[in-house]
Amino acid sequence: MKTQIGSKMKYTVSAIVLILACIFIFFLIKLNNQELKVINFPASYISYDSESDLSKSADIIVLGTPAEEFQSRKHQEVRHEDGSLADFYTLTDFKIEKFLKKPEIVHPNTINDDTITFTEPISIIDNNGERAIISLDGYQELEYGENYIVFLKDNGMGNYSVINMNEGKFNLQKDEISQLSSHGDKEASDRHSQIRREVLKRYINN
Amino acid sequence: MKKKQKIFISFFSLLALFILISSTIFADYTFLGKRNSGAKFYVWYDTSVFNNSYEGYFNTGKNNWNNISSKVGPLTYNQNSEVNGKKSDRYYVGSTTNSGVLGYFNPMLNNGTSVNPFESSWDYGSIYAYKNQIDLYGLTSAQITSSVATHEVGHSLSLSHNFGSACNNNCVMTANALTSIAPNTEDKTQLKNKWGN
Repeated sequence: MKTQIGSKMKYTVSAIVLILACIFIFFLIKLNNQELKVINFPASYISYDSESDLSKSADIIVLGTPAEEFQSRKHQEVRHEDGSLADFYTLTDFKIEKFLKKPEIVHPNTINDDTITFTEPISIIDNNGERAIISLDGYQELEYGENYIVFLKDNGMGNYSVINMNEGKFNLQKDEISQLSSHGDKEASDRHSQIRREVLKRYINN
Repeated sequence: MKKKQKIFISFFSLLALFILISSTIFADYTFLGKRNSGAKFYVWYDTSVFNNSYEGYFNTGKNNWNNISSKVGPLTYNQNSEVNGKKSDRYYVGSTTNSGVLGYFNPMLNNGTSVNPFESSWDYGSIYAYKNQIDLYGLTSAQITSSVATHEVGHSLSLSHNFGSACNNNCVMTANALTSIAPNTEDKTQLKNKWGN
Protein backbone atom coordinates (compact mmCIF):
# COMPACT_ATOMS: atom_id res chain seq x y z
CA MET A 1 0.00 0.00 0.00
CA LYS A 2 2.79 2.38 1.06
CA THR A 3 4.72 1.61 -2.16
CA GLN A 4 1.61 2.39 -4.27
CA ILE A 5 1.16 5.81 -2.55
CA GLY A 6 4.90 6.51 -2.92
CA SER A 7 4.87 5.75 -6.63
CA LYS A 8 1.68 7.86 -7.13
CA MET A 9 3.43 10.75 -5.37
CA LYS A 10 6.46 10.30 -7.60
CA TYR A 11 4.28 10.45 -10.74
CA THR A 12 2.44 13.55 -9.47
CA VAL A 13 5.66 15.38 -8.56
CA SER A 14 7.24 14.41 -11.89
CA ALA A 15 4.16 15.63 -13.76
CA ILE A 16 4.19 18.96 -11.90
CA VAL A 17 7.93 19.42 -12.55
CA LEU A 18 7.40 18.58 -16.24
CA ILE A 19 4.52 21.08 -16.55
CA LEU A 20 6.53 23.81 -14.78
CA ALA A 21 9.52 23.12 -17.05
CA CYS A 22 7.28 23.37 -20.13
CA ILE A 23 5.83 26.70 -18.89
CA PHE A 24 9.37 27.99 -18.18
CA ILE A 25 10.64 26.97 -21.63
CA PHE A 26 7.52 28.48 -23.28
CA PHE A 27 8.12 31.87 -21.63
CA LEU A 28 11.84 31.69 -22.36
CA ILE A 29 11.14 31.14 -26.06
CA LYS A 30 8.50 33.87 -26.05
CA LEU A 31 10.90 36.31 -24.37
CA ASN A 32 13.65 35.51 -26.85
CA ASN A 33 11.39 36.00 -29.87
CA GLN A 34 9.83 39.17 -28.54
CA GLU A 35 10.11 41.97 -31.07
CA LEU A 36 12.62 44.48 -29.79
CA LYS A 37 11.79 48.15 -29.63
CA VAL A 38 13.62 50.17 -32.30
CA ILE A 39 15.16 53.54 -31.40
CA ASN A 40 16.21 55.64 -34.33
CA PHE A 41 18.84 58.30 -33.58
CA PRO A 42 19.19 61.18 -36.06
CA ALA A 43 22.73 61.59 -37.38
CA SER A 44 24.84 63.66 -39.71
CA TYR A 45 26.86 61.70 -42.27
CA ILE A 46 28.68 61.90 -45.59
CA SER A 47 26.05 61.22 -48.22
CA TYR A 48 26.23 60.02 -51.85
CA ASP A 49 23.41 60.64 -54.31
CA SER A 50 24.34 58.32 -57.16
CA GLU A 51 25.81 54.92 -57.92
CA SER A 52 28.87 56.52 -59.54
CA ASP A 53 29.69 58.65 -56.46
CA LEU A 54 29.10 55.65 -54.21
CA SER A 55 31.27 53.33 -56.33
CA LYS A 56 34.05 55.92 -56.52
CA SER A 57 34.12 56.48 -52.75
CA ALA A 58 33.81 52.87 -51.58
CA ASP A 59 37.02 50.96 -50.87
CA ILE A 60 35.25 47.62 -51.17
CA ILE A 61 32.09 46.66 -53.05
CA VAL A 62 30.99 43.12 -52.28
CA LEU A 63 28.15 40.85 -53.33
CA GLY A 64 27.01 38.19 -50.86
CA THR A 65 24.83 37.35 -47.90
CA PRO A 66 25.01 37.68 -44.06
CA ALA A 67 26.36 34.53 -42.38
CA GLU A 68 23.93 34.63 -39.44
CA GLU A 69 20.72 36.11 -38.06
CA PHE A 70 20.95 39.73 -36.88
CA GLN A 71 20.32 38.90 -33.22
CA SER A 72 23.20 36.35 -33.22
CA ARG A 73 25.79 38.85 -34.50
CA LYS A 74 28.25 40.76 -32.29
CA HIS A 75 26.55 43.93 -31.04
CA GLN A 76 28.87 46.54 -29.62
CA GLU A 77 28.37 49.70 -27.58
CA VAL A 78 31.05 52.09 -26.38
CA ARG A 79 30.34 54.11 -23.24
CA HIS A 80 32.02 57.37 -22.24
CA GLU A 81 33.39 57.48 -18.69
CA ASP A 82 30.18 59.21 -17.54
CA GLY A 83 28.06 56.43 -19.09
CA SER A 84 26.83 58.29 -22.17
CA LEU A 85 26.57 56.27 -25.38
CA ALA A 86 29.71 57.28 -27.28
CA ASP A 87 29.44 54.84 -30.19
CA PHE A 88 27.67 51.65 -31.30
CA TYR A 89 27.78 49.17 -34.16
CA THR A 90 27.25 45.56 -35.16
CA LEU A 91 30.05 43.35 -36.45
CA THR A 92 28.60 41.42 -39.38
CA ASP A 93 30.13 38.32 -40.94
CA PHE A 94 29.21 38.36 -44.62
CA LYS A 95 29.66 35.40 -47.01
CA ILE A 96 31.39 36.66 -50.14
CA GLU A 97 29.98 35.61 -53.48
CA LYS A 98 32.01 38.10 -55.47
CA PHE A 99 34.12 41.21 -54.97
CA LEU A 100 33.03 43.99 -57.33
CA LYS A 101 35.78 46.30 -56.05
CA LYS A 102 38.69 45.41 -53.80
CA PRO A 103 41.92 47.20 -52.85
CA GLU A 104 45.27 45.48 -53.36
CA ILE A 105 45.92 45.46 -49.63
CA VAL A 106 43.03 44.65 -47.32
CA HIS A 107 43.07 45.13 -43.54
CA PRO A 108 44.21 41.91 -41.88
CA ASN A 109 41.60 39.97 -39.88
CA THR A 110 38.72 41.39 -41.91
CA ILE A 111 38.66 38.60 -44.50
CA ASN A 112 38.69 34.92 -43.54
CA ASP A 113 38.28 32.33 -46.34
CA ASP A 114 34.97 33.24 -47.98
CA THR A 115 33.80 35.69 -45.28
CA ILE A 116 34.39 39.41 -44.75
CA THR A 117 33.65 41.08 -41.41
CA PHE A 118 32.48 44.70 -41.36
CA THR A 119 30.44 47.05 -39.18
CA GLU A 120 26.87 48.26 -39.58
CA PRO A 121 25.56 51.46 -37.87
CA ILE A 122 23.05 49.59 -35.73
CA SER A 123 23.24 47.58 -32.49
CA ILE A 124 21.30 45.93 -29.68
CA ILE A 125 21.84 47.45 -26.25
CA ASP A 126 20.53 47.28 -22.71
CA ASN A 127 18.44 50.47 -22.63
CA ASN A 128 18.02 50.86 -18.87
CA GLY A 129 16.91 47.28 -18.27
CA GLU A 130 15.17 46.72 -21.60
CA ARG A 131 16.86 45.30 -24.70
CA ALA A 132 16.42 47.60 -27.68
CA ILE A 133 17.64 47.95 -31.25
CA ILE A 134 19.35 51.29 -31.75
CA SER A 135 20.03 52.57 -35.21
CA LEU A 136 21.56 55.63 -36.87
CA ASP A 137 19.29 57.56 -39.21
CA GLY A 138 16.87 54.72 -39.85
CA TYR A 139 19.52 52.21 -40.93
CA GLN A 140 18.10 48.69 -41.24
CA GLU A 141 20.33 45.67 -40.75
CA LEU A 142 21.29 43.27 -43.53
CA GLU A 143 18.72 40.49 -43.37
CA TYR A 144 19.81 36.88 -43.00
CA GLY A 145 18.91 34.82 -46.07
CA GLU A 146 18.94 37.83 -48.42
CA ASN A 147 21.56 38.73 -51.02
CA TYR A 148 23.06 42.19 -51.14
CA ILE A 149 25.56 44.44 -52.84
CA VAL A 150 27.29 46.35 -50.02
CA PHE A 151 29.49 49.47 -50.27
CA LEU A 152 32.22 49.59 -47.61
CA LYS A 153 34.85 52.11 -46.63
CA ASP A 154 37.93 51.96 -44.42
CA ASN A 155 36.91 53.59 -41.14
CA GLY A 156 40.48 54.56 -40.26
CA MET A 157 40.39 52.18 -37.29
CA GLY A 158 41.47 48.96 -39.00
CA ASN A 159 38.02 47.93 -40.16
CA TYR A 160 35.48 48.50 -42.93
CA SER A 161 31.95 49.77 -42.49
CA VAL A 162 28.82 50.33 -44.56
CA ILE A 163 28.66 53.88 -45.96
CA ASN A 164 25.67 56.07 -46.92
CA MET A 165 23.29 54.38 -44.42
CA ASN A 166 20.44 52.49 -46.20
CA GLU A 167 21.72 53.80 -49.54
CA GLY A 168 24.97 51.87 -49.07
CA LYS A 169 23.46 48.34 -49.26
CA PHE A 170 21.05 47.02 -51.79
CA ASN A 171 18.94 43.90 -51.62
CA LEU A 172 19.09 42.02 -54.93
CA GLN A 173 15.68 40.39 -54.52
CA LYS A 174 13.53 43.26 -53.31
CA ASP A 175 13.49 47.04 -53.09
CA GLU A 176 13.61 47.52 -49.34
CA ILE A 177 11.69 50.60 -48.28
CA SER A 178 12.51 51.44 -44.70
CA GLN A 179 9.69 51.45 -42.20
CA LEU A 180 11.68 53.63 -39.81
CA SER A 181 10.52 57.19 -39.42
CA SER A 182 13.51 59.05 -40.79
CA HIS A 183 13.38 57.14 -44.01
CA GLY A 184 9.61 56.86 -44.06
CA ASP A 185 9.64 59.96 -46.23
CA LYS A 186 8.73 59.35 -49.84
CA GLU A 187 11.71 61.39 -51.07
CA ALA A 188 14.11 59.13 -49.15
CA SER A 189 12.45 55.95 -50.43
CA ASP A 190 12.55 57.25 -54.00
CA ARG A 191 16.23 58.05 -53.57
CA HIS A 192 16.92 54.49 -52.38
CA SER A 193 15.02 53.01 -55.34
CA GLN A 194 16.81 55.27 -57.81
CA ILE A 195 20.33 54.40 -56.56
CA ARG A 196 19.37 50.69 -56.33
CA ARG A 197 18.29 50.72 -60.00
CA GLU A 198 21.63 52.29 -60.97
CA VAL A 199 23.59 49.77 -58.87
CA LEU A 200 21.75 46.75 -60.33
CA LYS A 201 22.14 48.12 -63.85
CA ARG A 202 25.91 48.51 -63.44
CA TYR A 203 26.76 45.37 -61.47
CA ILE A 204 24.05 42.79 -62.19
CA ASN A 205 22.17 43.51 -65.43
CA ASN A 206 25.03 44.71 -67.63
CA MET B 1 -26.43 65.91 -65.94
CA LYS B 2 -23.27 66.43 -67.98
CA LYS B 3 -22.84 69.91 -66.51
CA LYS B 4 -23.20 68.53 -62.99
CA GLN B 5 -20.61 65.86 -63.77
CA LYS B 6 -18.20 68.47 -65.09
CA ILE B 7 -18.58 70.62 -61.97
CA PHE B 8 -18.11 67.53 -59.79
CA ILE B 9 -14.89 66.47 -61.61
CA SER B 10 -13.50 70.02 -61.66
CA PHE B 11 -14.14 70.45 -57.91
CA PHE B 12 -12.32 67.23 -56.99
CA SER B 13 -9.46 67.90 -59.40
CA LEU B 14 -8.94 71.32 -57.83
CA LEU B 15 -9.14 69.80 -54.35
CA ALA B 16 -6.54 67.14 -55.25
CA LEU B 17 -4.27 69.81 -56.74
CA PHE B 18 -4.63 71.97 -53.61
CA ILE B 19 -3.75 69.02 -51.33
CA LEU B 20 -0.73 68.15 -53.50
CA ILE B 21 0.58 71.73 -53.56
CA SER B 22 0.00 72.35 -49.85
CA SER B 23 1.66 69.04 -48.89
CA THR B 24 4.73 70.12 -50.88
CA ILE B 25 4.80 73.69 -49.57
CA PHE B 26 3.88 72.94 -45.96
CA ALA B 27 5.78 69.64 -45.56
CA ASP B 28 6.60 69.00 -41.93
CA TYR B 29 10.20 68.02 -41.24
CA THR B 30 10.08 67.88 -37.45
CA PHE B 31 9.98 65.05 -34.92
CA LEU B 32 6.76 64.08 -33.22
CA GLY B 33 8.60 64.31 -29.91
CA LYS B 34 10.28 67.33 -28.33
CA ARG B 35 12.17 68.38 -25.22
CA ASN B 36 9.65 68.22 -22.37
CA SER B 37 10.82 71.46 -20.76
CA GLY B 38 10.64 73.46 -24.02
CA ALA B 39 13.31 74.97 -26.23
CA LYS B 40 15.02 77.31 -23.78
CA PHE B 41 17.56 75.25 -21.89
CA TYR B 42 21.11 74.94 -20.62
CA VAL B 43 23.89 73.04 -22.36
CA TRP B 44 27.00 71.51 -20.83
CA TYR B 45 30.29 70.68 -22.56
CA ASP B 46 32.31 67.58 -21.70
CA THR B 47 36.09 68.06 -21.32
CA SER B 48 36.49 66.32 -24.73
CA VAL B 49 34.96 69.45 -26.30
CA PHE B 50 37.66 71.71 -24.78
CA ASN B 51 40.47 69.19 -25.30
CA ASN B 52 39.69 69.10 -29.03
CA SER B 53 38.98 72.85 -29.29
CA TYR B 54 35.39 72.28 -30.41
CA GLU B 55 33.76 74.83 -28.07
CA GLY B 56 33.78 77.47 -30.85
CA TYR B 57 31.87 75.14 -33.21
CA PHE B 58 29.28 74.28 -30.58
CA ASN B 59 28.94 77.91 -29.41
CA THR B 60 28.13 79.02 -32.96
CA GLY B 61 26.05 75.88 -33.60
CA LYS B 62 23.70 76.55 -30.68
CA ASN B 63 23.64 80.36 -31.12
CA ASN B 64 22.67 79.93 -34.78
CA TRP B 65 19.17 78.91 -33.60
CA ASN B 66 18.65 82.04 -31.47
CA ASN B 67 16.40 84.95 -32.54
CA ILE B 68 14.27 82.88 -34.92
CA SER B 69 11.36 82.03 -32.65
CA SER B 70 10.53 83.71 -29.33
CA LYS B 71 9.94 80.20 -27.96
CA VAL B 72 13.42 78.92 -28.88
CA GLY B 73 16.67 79.78 -27.14
CA PRO B 74 18.86 81.06 -25.88
CA LEU B 75 20.64 77.76 -25.32
CA THR B 76 22.97 78.81 -22.53
CA TYR B 77 26.27 77.17 -21.69
CA ASN B 78 26.69 76.26 -18.02
CA GLN B 79 29.65 74.49 -16.47
CA ASN B 80 27.27 72.33 -14.44
CA SER B 81 25.51 69.44 -16.13
CA GLU B 82 22.41 70.09 -14.04
CA VAL B 83 20.92 73.55 -13.35
CA ASN B 84 18.00 74.16 -10.96
CA GLY B 85 17.35 70.40 -10.79
CA LYS B 86 17.05 70.08 -14.57
CA LYS B 87 19.52 68.21 -16.75
CA SER B 88 21.32 70.25 -19.38
CA ASP B 89 21.93 68.91 -22.89
CA ARG B 90 25.40 67.38 -23.03
CA TYR B 91 27.89 67.91 -25.87
CA TYR B 92 30.87 65.60 -26.55
CA VAL B 93 33.64 65.06 -29.09
CA GLY B 94 34.53 61.41 -29.76
CA SER B 95 35.28 58.86 -32.44
CA THR B 96 33.18 56.27 -34.24
CA THR B 97 33.74 53.03 -36.10
CA ASN B 98 30.99 53.94 -38.59
CA SER B 99 32.56 55.38 -41.75
CA GLY B 100 31.32 58.80 -42.74
CA VAL B 101 29.23 59.42 -39.61
CA LEU B 102 29.98 62.95 -38.39
CA GLY B 103 27.73 63.22 -35.34
CA TYR B 104 24.50 62.07 -33.72
CA PHE B 105 21.84 63.10 -31.21
CA ASN B 106 20.62 60.82 -28.40
CA PRO B 107 17.40 61.98 -26.67
CA MET B 108 16.86 60.57 -23.17
CA LEU B 109 14.54 60.52 -20.20
CA ASN B 110 15.82 61.68 -16.81
CA ASN B 111 16.62 58.07 -15.85
CA GLY B 112 18.96 57.73 -18.85
CA THR B 113 16.61 55.69 -21.07
CA SER B 114 17.03 56.59 -24.74
CA VAL B 115 13.84 57.33 -26.67
CA ASN B 116 12.92 57.49 -30.33
CA PRO B 117 12.41 61.21 -31.14
CA PHE B 118 10.14 60.32 -34.05
CA GLU B 119 7.65 58.92 -31.54
CA SER B 120 8.32 60.28 -28.03
CA SER B 121 9.40 63.38 -26.14
CA TRP B 122 12.52 63.52 -23.99
CA ASP B 123 13.97 65.28 -20.92
CA TYR B 124 17.50 65.97 -22.14
CA GLY B 125 19.89 64.82 -24.84
CA SER B 126 23.51 64.21 -25.74
CA ILE B 127 25.25 65.28 -28.92
CA TYR B 128 28.42 63.61 -30.19
CA ALA B 129 30.68 65.14 -32.86
CA TYR B 130 32.94 62.44 -34.34
CA LYS B 131 36.33 64.04 -34.85
CA ASN B 132 38.00 60.98 -36.40
CA GLN B 133 35.53 60.98 -39.34
CA ILE B 134 35.45 64.80 -39.56
CA ASP B 135 39.26 64.76 -39.92
CA LEU B 136 39.27 61.73 -42.26
CA TYR B 137 36.89 63.48 -44.68
CA GLY B 138 38.68 66.82 -44.31
CA LEU B 139 35.68 68.98 -43.37
CA THR B 140 36.33 72.72 -43.32
CA SER B 141 35.63 74.82 -40.20
CA ALA B 142 32.49 76.20 -41.88
CA GLN B 143 31.25 72.66 -42.62
CA ILE B 144 31.90 71.48 -39.03
CA THR B 145 29.96 74.48 -37.72
CA SER B 146 27.04 73.98 -40.13
CA SER B 147 26.76 70.26 -40.95
CA VAL B 148 27.81 68.94 -37.55
CA ALA B 149 27.28 71.45 -34.71
CA THR B 150 24.30 73.49 -36.01
CA HIS B 151 22.76 70.37 -37.60
CA GLU B 152 22.91 68.26 -34.41
CA VAL B 153 21.63 71.12 -32.24
CA GLY B 154 18.80 71.39 -34.78
CA HIS B 155 17.91 67.75 -34.03
CA SER B 156 17.87 68.59 -30.30
CA LEU B 157 15.29 71.28 -31.18
CA SER B 158 13.07 68.62 -32.80
CA LEU B 159 14.04 69.24 -36.42
CA SER B 160 14.34 66.08 -38.52
CA HIS B 161 16.14 65.69 -41.84
CA ASN B 162 14.64 67.80 -44.55
CA PHE B 163 14.18 66.00 -47.89
CA GLY B 164 11.84 68.61 -49.34
CA SER B 165 12.13 70.78 -52.42
CA ALA B 166 12.12 73.93 -50.24
CA CYS B 167 15.41 72.72 -48.76
CA ASN B 168 16.74 71.23 -51.99
CA ASN B 169 19.87 69.85 -50.25
CA ASN B 170 20.85 73.38 -49.30
CA CYS B 171 19.52 73.88 -45.79
CA VAL B 172 21.25 73.04 -42.50
CA MET B 173 18.91 70.10 -41.84
CA THR B 174 19.52 68.32 -45.15
CA ALA B 175 20.88 64.79 -44.87
CA ASN B 176 22.11 64.70 -48.43
CA ALA B 177 24.93 67.23 -48.56
CA LEU B 178 27.56 69.05 -46.58
CA THR B 179 26.67 72.68 -45.96
CA SER B 180 28.57 75.78 -44.80
CA ILE B 181 25.59 77.95 -43.92
CA ALA B 182 23.61 79.18 -40.93
CA PRO B 183 19.89 78.17 -40.73
CA ASN B 184 18.15 79.50 -43.87
CA THR B 185 14.52 80.42 -44.53
CA GLU B 186 13.40 76.77 -44.75
CA ASP B 187 15.20 75.79 -41.51
CA LYS B 188 13.59 78.79 -39.78
CA THR B 189 10.14 77.89 -41.16
CA GLN B 190 10.43 74.34 -39.79
CA LEU B 191 11.61 75.62 -36.39
CA LYS B 192 8.61 77.98 -36.18
CA ASN B 193 6.29 75.16 -37.33
CA LYS B 194 7.42 73.18 -34.32
CA TRP B 195 7.65 75.82 -31.62
CA GLY B 196 5.64 78.79 -32.86
CA ASN B 197 6.71 82.35 -33.70
